[in-house]
Amino acid sequence: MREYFFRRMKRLVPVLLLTCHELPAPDPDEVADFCREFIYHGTPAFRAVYFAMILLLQALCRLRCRRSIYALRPPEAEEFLESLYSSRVLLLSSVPTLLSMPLHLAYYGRDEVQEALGFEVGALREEALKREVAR
Amino acid sequence: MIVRPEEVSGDIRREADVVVVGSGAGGAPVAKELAEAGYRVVVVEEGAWFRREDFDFRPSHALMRLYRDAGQTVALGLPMVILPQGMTVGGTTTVNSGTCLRVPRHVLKRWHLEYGLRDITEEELNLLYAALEEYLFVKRADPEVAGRNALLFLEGARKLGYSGGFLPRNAKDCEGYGVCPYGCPSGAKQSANVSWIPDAVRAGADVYTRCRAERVLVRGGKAMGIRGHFLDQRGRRGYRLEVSARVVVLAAGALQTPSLLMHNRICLSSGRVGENLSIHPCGGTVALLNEKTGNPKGIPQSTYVDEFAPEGIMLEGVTLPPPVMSVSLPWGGRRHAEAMRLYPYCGTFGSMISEHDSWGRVAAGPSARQPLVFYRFGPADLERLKRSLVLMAEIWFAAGARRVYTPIAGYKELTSPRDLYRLSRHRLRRWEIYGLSAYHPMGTCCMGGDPEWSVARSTGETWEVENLYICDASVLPTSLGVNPQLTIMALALRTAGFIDERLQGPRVPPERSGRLAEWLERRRAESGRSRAAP
Repeated sequence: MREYFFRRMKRLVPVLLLTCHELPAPDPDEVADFCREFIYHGTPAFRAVYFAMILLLQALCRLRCRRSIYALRPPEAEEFLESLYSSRVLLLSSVPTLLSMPLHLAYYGRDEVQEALGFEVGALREEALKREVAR
Repeated sequence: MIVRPEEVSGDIRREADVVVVGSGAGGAPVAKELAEAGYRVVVVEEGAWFRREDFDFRPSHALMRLYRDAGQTVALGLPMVILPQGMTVGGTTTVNSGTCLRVPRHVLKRWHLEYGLRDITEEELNLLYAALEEYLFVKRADPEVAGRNALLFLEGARKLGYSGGFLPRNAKDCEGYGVCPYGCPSGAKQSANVSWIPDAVRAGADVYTRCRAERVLVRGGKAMGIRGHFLDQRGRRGYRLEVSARVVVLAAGALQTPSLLMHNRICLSSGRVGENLSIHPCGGTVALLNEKTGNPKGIPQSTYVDEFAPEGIMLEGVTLPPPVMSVSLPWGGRRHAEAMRLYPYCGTFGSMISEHDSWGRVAAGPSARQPLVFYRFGPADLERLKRSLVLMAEIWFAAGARRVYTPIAGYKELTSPRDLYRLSRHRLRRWEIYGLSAYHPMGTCCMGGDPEWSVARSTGETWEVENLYICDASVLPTSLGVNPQLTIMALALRTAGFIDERLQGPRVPPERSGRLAEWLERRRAESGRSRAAP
C-alpha cells in the first residue's frame, strides 16, 4: 500500500517541484528517497494525511481538468496547481502546499542548491570542524 | 558514561539513587547537580546522542535526527499549529536558538497571587539566574556576528522609534553559522548536550540514549523506578531497561510528561494532568530587500523588539536556511521558484505571542509516545498575531523592503503601506492563516499550592506520588511570554536542592542542603552582581 503511494509521489516530483534555471536540476529519485524517509520518521497522522492528499489532488484534477494529473502537459499542470495554491479555501490550498513540503525540503537541502543560493555550507562545515569551542 | 543502544547486548536491570527521564533543560541540570553531589544518577533519553561534528549544516536531515517525529508534531485545531520538539541528548536546548531570558516580574507575581507559589521568590530566582548565566556563558549577542538580517530589522525598528536590542544567549565565542536549530556545529551554543550532560557524565552519571521510559514503578504511593525499552533506528523496541531508584524525576517535556502520567494512570486525581497547555504561537514574515542579507549566516535569534511586550507581542529575530525558507514561503509552483531565486535578498523576522484567550490540552493518544495535542485560538490572540505580522511588515518597510510576505490568505504579498492598512483593518478568521508554528509548550502538569488544582508542589514533587518529581516546562503554571529555557533550568536547580534534601534525610536543615546551598550562599555574597528580572 505504502509503495503505491511512494510511486505516485515520485511521479508528482516534476509536477510539484518547479525550480528556476540558475539552480541545479532536481533529481526525482533523490527527492523521492528523502520524502520516503521524512514521511517514515514522521507521525502516522501526517503519513495518513499526506497519502490522502495525493488521492485528493488526483480527484481534484479529474474533476477540474477531466484528466489525470500525470497526463497534463506542464503548463496545464502548472495552471491547475496555481489555481489550488491561490485558493482562499484552506483545504484546497493545503493540498499542493503539504504535498510539496518534503519535496522542497529535499531539493533545497542539497549542498549544491544551498551554495547556489549563497549559503556556502561546504566551506562553513570545514571551518566549523576546525574550530571547536571548549568550555 | 553515555550508552547507545548498539552497545547494549541484553536486558539491563540496575539500581540508582535518582533516575531522570529526559535530558533537556529540566532533566540535565538535575542530573548534573545530583551526580556532582555524589548520588548515583541514571538519565534515560529517547533521542540519540550526537557530537558536534555530526551537526552538518543539513536542516532537512537534522529534522529527522534531532526532532521528535521529524518536526511534524502538531496541535490539532483551526488553524493547526506545528509544535517542533527536540528529541536528542540535550532535548530542545540542542535545537533552540540559545536565547536566555529571565521570567518577567509580572508573571512571577501572578504565580504568587493566583497559584500559591510564594516560596519561589524573585530573590532566589535571581541568584539561580546569575549562577546559570555564569555557567552557560550568557551574554548579549555580538552585533558583529548578529548578521545583516537582524541589523536591518533593528534599524527599521529604530527609525519608527520602537525599542529593541540584542538578546542574551548561552553561546561562547559564537561565529554565527546560522544553524542553531539544527545543532551547533562548533559547540559554541551551551546547550545541555555540551554543558550539563558532559559534566553530569564526568561526575559519574550514566545516560542511556535511544531508550524510552514507559512505566513509572510505584509501590505504596512511592515512586520506585522506571521501566523502558531501547529503540532501534526505526523506533522499534529492543532490549529492556529497568532502573530501581529512590527518586524518579520526569523531565520529558510538556507534551510527553503528561502523556507518561496518563498512560501510567498516576497523579490524575486533580484532573489537571494534560490541561492548561500554553504555547507561544509564532508568526513569521519574509521581506524582499534591495541588498543581500547574507542569510542565514549570522546568529539566527540575535535581536528583539520589545516595544509591544506589554500587549503580549515580542518580536524576535530568525534566519532560515534555504530548505526551511522553502517551506515557509506562502507560494507554490513557479512563484515559489522565483521567490527562492531571490533568497539572498530575503530578510526574515518572527513574532511570539503571549496567550490571553486561547486554550490547549494534551490528551492520551493511541500510545504514550504519541499524545494528542489540542489547541484553540481565541479571537483576541488571533488578532494579536495579525497585529504582530502588521508590525513586522511595517518595520521591514521602514528598513527598505520592497515586498513583505505574510502567511495570511489574501495578504500573502504586501507591497505598500496601503496594503498594511488593509491588513490591519481586516478581521482575521481562523482558516485564513496557515503554516503557523509555536514553541515552548508549558503548563500541562502545573505546580501550585493546592492539590485540588495542581499536579506538583512548588518543590517539583507530585502531590500524589512520593519521590516522583516533575522538572520541565510542564510545571510552569502560565505562559512566560519569553523563551523559557533559563527559567526551566533555574527551577530544575531548585528541585535538585529539594531532592538532595530528601535523599539525605532528616540530618539536613530543612530549608536547603548540599552543594546548592553552598552555591546559593556564595551567590548571595555576590548579590551585588545579580540583576533584576527584565
